[in-house]
Amino acid sequence: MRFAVEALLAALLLGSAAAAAQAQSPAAPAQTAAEPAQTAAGEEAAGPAAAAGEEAGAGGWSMSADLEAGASLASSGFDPSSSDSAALWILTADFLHRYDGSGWGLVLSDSIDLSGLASAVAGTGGTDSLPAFTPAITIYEAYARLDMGNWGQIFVGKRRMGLGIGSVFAPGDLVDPRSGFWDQKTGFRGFDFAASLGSDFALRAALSLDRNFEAWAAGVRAKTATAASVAATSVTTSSATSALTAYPSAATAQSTSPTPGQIYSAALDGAAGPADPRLFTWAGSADAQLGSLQLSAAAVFRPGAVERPSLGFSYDLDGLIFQAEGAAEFSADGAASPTKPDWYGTAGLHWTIAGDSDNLSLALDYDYNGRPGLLDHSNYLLPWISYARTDVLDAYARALVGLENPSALLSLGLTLYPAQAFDLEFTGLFGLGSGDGEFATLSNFAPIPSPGAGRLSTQVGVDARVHF
Amino acid sequence: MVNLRKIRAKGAMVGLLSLSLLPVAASPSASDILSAVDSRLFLASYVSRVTMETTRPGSAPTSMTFEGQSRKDKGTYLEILAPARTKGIRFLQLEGSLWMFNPKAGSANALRLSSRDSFQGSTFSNADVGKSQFSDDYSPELAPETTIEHPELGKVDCLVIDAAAKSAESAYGKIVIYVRKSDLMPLKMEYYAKSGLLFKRMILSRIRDFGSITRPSVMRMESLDKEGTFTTLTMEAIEKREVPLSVFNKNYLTR
Repeated sequence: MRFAVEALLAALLLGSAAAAAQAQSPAAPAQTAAEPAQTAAGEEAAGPAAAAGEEAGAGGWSMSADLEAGASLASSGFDPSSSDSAALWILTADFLHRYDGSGWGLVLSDSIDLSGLASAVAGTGGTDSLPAFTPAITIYEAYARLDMGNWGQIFVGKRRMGLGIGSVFAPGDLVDPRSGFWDQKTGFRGFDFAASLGSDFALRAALSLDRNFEAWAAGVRAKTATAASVAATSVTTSSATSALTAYPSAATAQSTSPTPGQIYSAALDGAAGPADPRLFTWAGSADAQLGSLQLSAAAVFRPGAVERPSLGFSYDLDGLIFQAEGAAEFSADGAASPTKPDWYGTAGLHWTIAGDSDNLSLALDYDYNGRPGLLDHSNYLLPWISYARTDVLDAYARALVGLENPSALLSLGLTLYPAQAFDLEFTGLFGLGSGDGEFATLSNFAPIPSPGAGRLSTQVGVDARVHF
Repeated sequence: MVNLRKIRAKGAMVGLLSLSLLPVAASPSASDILSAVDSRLFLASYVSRVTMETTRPGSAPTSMTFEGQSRKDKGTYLEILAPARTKGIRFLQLEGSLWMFNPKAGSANALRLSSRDSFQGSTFSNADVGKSQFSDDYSPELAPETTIEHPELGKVDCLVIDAAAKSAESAYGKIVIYVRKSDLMPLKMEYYAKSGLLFKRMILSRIRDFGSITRPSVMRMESLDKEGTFTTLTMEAIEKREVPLSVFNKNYLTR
């Protein structure tokens, strides 16, 4: 499907791609061929070469791609020999296509994942949950942009939108909530409007249809499961087993897990159907840039379920950057009420010490959750240290720390840049402490499945990446 | 599309006119010289394409090409065109803040940076690349005239100004600027840290008529505390254009 989409996009853009490439090509080689004459004052006249193919600010099509190949070892313990463990080979390709036309644009950000199981070792938990090969195509973003003069844009499709200030924790963002603590590539599906009031004020409004799509998908799965269940009762036991293998969701229907019908009802959440406006999630925000101070006010609303306004700021104090954001949930859907809201908040500071080619960055963020929802714990810390030497290496250590029943996820990484378009990356992810809540498995955070029923504690990997 | 030939013709006219109005005969003041430096290097509103090459001892030179949109009264928006590793990364430099957005990275929000930091590992600071005029941040004083040995132009009689930082937020403590006496074209700059240490030197050369502006097209910034380390910025294109204010809004960064 991705190839079809890309082929269509390529066909649409082919006409302007050549012009864009010409406009973006550096003028230097042409200039060398027709070296401009230099005057006595050292000035170079604008020769014929200077007039051709030099225009800055031209739009057009652009594409970048990252191809990644490597291996990863996941284990439910720190000693692979006595734990459930699995080795996986990693093969992925990430693409980012952009087209910027006059008054409109297209963006497609997608990924092909051909990673699979290389080998597995069964300890106490078994490895039956591991797929041997699971090719996957992920579309992170696919949207069209329509410009309204110089002041506004309408976006349609799947698009990332960070609501509020927070880059790590975003207590007010329920439209495109952070799916991981250090990775947020996937956008929400719907409509988005951005207005720029000069350079210092920005307004945004969004309508998310994610809940509608989820309800629709749950309905399709429920119908499929029902069909499989009916078929299963009219054939032999062995045939039924095959059907359940083909439709895993049908298997859950026979267990104590919620039935597909129940899942569909839950997804509808009282709505009459997938197109019911009660599943719409609305959001709006206003941002102001006042010198070194940035202010942000936002709100998310879904009828009868979510009412979450938030306020945040960030301030650059001579290189030390503070940011804080608070949100209150007034919805009657949970325990919260207009008179007794649930509170959420985050605060952090970032500092970078820079040399000519070295950068050392330190960051610390704190997050408070009044009620479990996006996160299971109430109090988190996220310390982060990174060092970069331009075009040589990049290294980081970061940890998500849960302060109740202390648990932590520690992430380490080292990327070497031996050539201009080639990276060599070493990563490690470790689970520490009691491991409850979101710390129960690393598989939520690592791009690999759990090696078995046991708790995943360790994942190490090495990857080679080529940029195009 | 903008007609570059027409713009060049207009630019040449404006350049000639402004040259004739400059008080070069009557010993310009320090402020006149700093204003002339600003007008020689920057347009009020423009788009440009620049290639930056950094050389360090023992390492192969690294190159980066980026496209910028600037307004003197607002700031600069930059997007990296090459190399492939950093292609697509965008920067927004405003008064008091600097933002970076990487469409390929895992963050939906732009990341806030400090404008004092090095720009992409070069010997230029973020402020060097983003700033479109010196007179906002520096107070000039006349220094004795001198003759410099320019690597391209040979011996050149120069007027000299000491431009001291107006506030602690400026990237440098002082910049000494050498301008050609005949037309106030900047040819050399020396950058001092707030401690008073001279640590960078920039030579401006290859003066070129871009149509909208005639200015040095090559700027070689040398690090004096790291021998053999220098960055060369080559202005490949610069074009006068009315850049809308919305370009300097964070909405534009994440569009």
